[in-house]
Amino acid sequence: MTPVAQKRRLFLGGAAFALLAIACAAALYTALSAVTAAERDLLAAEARIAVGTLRETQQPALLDGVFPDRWRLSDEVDPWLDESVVYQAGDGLAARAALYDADSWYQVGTLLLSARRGSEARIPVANSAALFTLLGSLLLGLLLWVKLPVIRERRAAAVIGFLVATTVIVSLTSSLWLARNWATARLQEATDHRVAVAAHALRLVPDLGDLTGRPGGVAQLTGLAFVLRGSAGDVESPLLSAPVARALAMTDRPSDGRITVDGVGYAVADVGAVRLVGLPYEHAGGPTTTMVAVALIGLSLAAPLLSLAGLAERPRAFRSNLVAWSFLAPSLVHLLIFTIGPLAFAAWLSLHRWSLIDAARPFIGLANYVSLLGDGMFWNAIRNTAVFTFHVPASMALALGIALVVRRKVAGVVFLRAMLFLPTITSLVAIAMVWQWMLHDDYGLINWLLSVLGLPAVGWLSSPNTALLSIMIMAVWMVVGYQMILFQAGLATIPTELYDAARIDGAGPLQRFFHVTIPGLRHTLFFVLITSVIGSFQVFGAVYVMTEGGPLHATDVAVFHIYQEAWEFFRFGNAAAMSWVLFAIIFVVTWLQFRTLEQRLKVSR
Amino acid sequence: MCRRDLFKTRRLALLHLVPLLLNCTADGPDSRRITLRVLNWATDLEVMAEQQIADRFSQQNPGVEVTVESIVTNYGEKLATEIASGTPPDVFLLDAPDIPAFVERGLVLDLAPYLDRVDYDPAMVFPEVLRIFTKSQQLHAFPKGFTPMVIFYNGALFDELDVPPPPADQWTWDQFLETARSVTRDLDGDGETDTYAIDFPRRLFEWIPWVWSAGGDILDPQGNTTAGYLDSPATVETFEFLTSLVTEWKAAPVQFLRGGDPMRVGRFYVGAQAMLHSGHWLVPRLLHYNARGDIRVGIAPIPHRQGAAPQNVVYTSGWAVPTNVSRKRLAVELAAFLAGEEAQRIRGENHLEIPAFRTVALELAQQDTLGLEQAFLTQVAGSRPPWGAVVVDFYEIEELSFDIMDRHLLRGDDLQQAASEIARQIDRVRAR
Repeated sequence: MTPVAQKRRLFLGGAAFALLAIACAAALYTALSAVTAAERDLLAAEARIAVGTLRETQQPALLDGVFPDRWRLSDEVDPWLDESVVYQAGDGLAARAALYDADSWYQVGTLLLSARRGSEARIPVANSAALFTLLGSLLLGLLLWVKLPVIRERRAAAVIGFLVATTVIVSLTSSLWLARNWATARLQEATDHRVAVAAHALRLVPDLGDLTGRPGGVAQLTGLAFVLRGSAGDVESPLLSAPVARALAMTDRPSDGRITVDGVGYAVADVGAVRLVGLPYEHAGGPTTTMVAVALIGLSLAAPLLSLAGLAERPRAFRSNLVAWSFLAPSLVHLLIFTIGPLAFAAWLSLHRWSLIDAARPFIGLANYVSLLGDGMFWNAIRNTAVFTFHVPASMALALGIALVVRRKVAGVVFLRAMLFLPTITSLVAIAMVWQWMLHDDYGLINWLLSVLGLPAVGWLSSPNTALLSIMIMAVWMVVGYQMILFQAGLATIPTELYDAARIDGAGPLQRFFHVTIPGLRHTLFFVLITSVIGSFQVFGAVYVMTEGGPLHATDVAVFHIYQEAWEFFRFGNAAAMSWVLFAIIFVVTWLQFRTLEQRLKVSR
Repeated sequence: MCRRDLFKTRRLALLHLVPLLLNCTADGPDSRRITLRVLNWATDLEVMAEQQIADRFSQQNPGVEVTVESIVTNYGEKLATEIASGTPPDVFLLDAPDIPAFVERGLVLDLAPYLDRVDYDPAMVFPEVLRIFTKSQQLHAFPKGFTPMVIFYNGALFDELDVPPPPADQWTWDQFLETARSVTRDLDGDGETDTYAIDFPRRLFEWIPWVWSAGGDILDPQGNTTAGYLDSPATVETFEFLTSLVTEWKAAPVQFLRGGDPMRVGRFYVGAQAMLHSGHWLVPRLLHYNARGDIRVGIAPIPHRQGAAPQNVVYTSGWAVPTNVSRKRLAVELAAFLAGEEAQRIRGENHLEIPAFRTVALELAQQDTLGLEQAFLTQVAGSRPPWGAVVVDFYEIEELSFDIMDRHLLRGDDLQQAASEIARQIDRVRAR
């Protein structure tokens, strides 16, 4: 290997090493952030419990039992102080909480609380660093491995690429596993401590009966939801839904203090008739999602390096590829963050029961997908979407016809072209509202025109038989101008000599159209068809404004159905599963189009 | 000056700058300002009044600024996103159908412990409204305003058609049908109705008082199941009566849009429709047309079936404080102020809703020479909370219930069968 090639390989090795370092560090940082957030939340909760205990008992000395050597009182009254504020004090966390009077209204002082000893979140740096150094060195060694004389260059690149990819995957997975386990253990510890402190505070209350008799009183003191278990098995729960409360109240408490109801884990503690219920931190704020996203991004960034690794000994190709990747980098990063990232998140969502406003988001595997199989409404939406797609050939035929007409240089053609293109640049909502009026049964322009012609009125948007058709007509009107422009561009590329030759050979207009124009436009037709079909599968705006899926779900298309599922019924997990099914359908349809049409294009060349 | 001296001079200059900058940025305690955010769905008519009320609060609390954010469309999405992202508004308008979901998840603060502190007397509020926000002695929002459902009628059109106007007190389905048939006219003899009697109540919030006033319901008393209620004889009979207005009597036109017939209000204004289902929110615009002499507006109650007791509904919203709000005291004070007497008076001038405070509502009713406010107030006594304020999955019920009468009107399906199938479907979806 030449010294220059060796330098390049060294550069690549360094870059791979840096990439791995960044990905591992990001994974560790994510875990650390989750733990730090939980620690801050825990301290804030502790501060609230402390001031709550003081308010209920009026005996500051009792706090020693709950927070030994960690608290002190101040007379300071700061009207701008939040209920509790957590801040960094020296090398640890501390909290300030406003101390209120018995009515929980006027501030009478401030409570200062430091974090419990050993609770500062420390990532297992030594273990991570050792692992990282080991794997990183291995990666570097592989890239610097130049003694492969018996293997041809391309094969060597493939071997090295495979080894690099394997090392990156192993490194990242190990880091993720290490960090996740550490974070989960810390979050569990924080949860247990949180529930224990709340239970302890509750035991300090002189007359628990007073507190339990006041709905919400227990929750205000402990910050946790609770159930009251009566002797007759009756359950009262101001802050939990009735079924969950009953399940939690009746289930025996397991040794780890956790109870799982409907796939959601709850940490519980019993104080007499009161059962305190908390959602474990690892359930509400675990780092897994972000870590997986980091891993995916890290892995996908390996692509440029693998591409370059194979070119280490070819200076020109190496340079041009390096330049190409550097130009691609901004859009690649954009793509990763705003396209791949949301896609991965949607995939994660689809495996969970996830609502925007629920803290509990349990993993339910493929249950969302399984429930889709029996969801007739969803498949009705898919069927409607498929039917809607049939407007594409109609609009293409119309656009091509118009393009053929308006390419002639006659008066008014430019104006006509502009008019036809206007819908493309007009707000969809404005268009939809105008069409909604035009299609109104009683006062619409179209029915008025029909009445002038002596024809009966049509329930354009009122009838399930015509509503989807009406939206398809509007869609044709909207896209025909854009498609016309594309066809015009395509027509301009067809050499006039071909038409002249066809004419000389005696071809008529139809023959010239089918044997010169259509073959000449094949690439444009292919492009317009593919993009229009994909676009039609994603129809939403027109339906949202004009019919909202009705009447009788006749215009309920896939994206609108997904929108409703997510934003009206707050079933984001289900909606994400639907999105992935739609994605799969679009993918298969597009792939089939490519397969069939590309073959024909090749044949016609 | 040598390079080293230059650095020293710069450092000194910076050291002088630091206190100067600190003076500019780190304000003393008295000059600090707090900004509170209020989220609502105020439209053009309301937004000025809401800002005026917020400004009054700022004047009374120096150093506190209140910004009013009005989200007219997709309000629920915006609110849920803000709460989920940990940046909730300090005070937000809680719509009645969102109460169960927010309360069950512990997202709104119980305001009951602070009533004395903010000088809020629940006894001032109409009990029919207060109980919507109350559960187990907890108060989840301070009521803002409310409305029952009524039937507006155009007195001028009734005179023109020489038909007696609807009664101000109760009336039965038979009386209603007789009136509706009398005002339904084909003026030019082309076989098409030119003057409709009323709009078709296709949406659940419009037809639910009809069902209740027939002795029916859509859910069992605990709100658990629809089977046996949504398809009960009284409920189905209501569906049959309402759809007959379209199919048999041609007295009501129908548009199958979820937002309702966009022309229904316009028809009423121009005298092409004699009666109109609506709530108090339409009063400002009706007053405008009334003042121009286009219509002479009157109010009639929702008719009841013979033998069944009239039963209206109360739609309301209230000012709530998120549980995770950072400045609880100020937020609760602001919420109470927004729902307080002064705010109710300012808002009352818009006529968009009935003020939740009885005294303010009665004052407005006394000032109203047309008698509309009084007519609304007579509907309040004994009104029920909407199901949306009781059950969590109400949006699912509302969405699917469209199909019952639609199936009959569009496909000729039997209403009993349609109601039973939809009831089963709703129960299946809710069980999921």
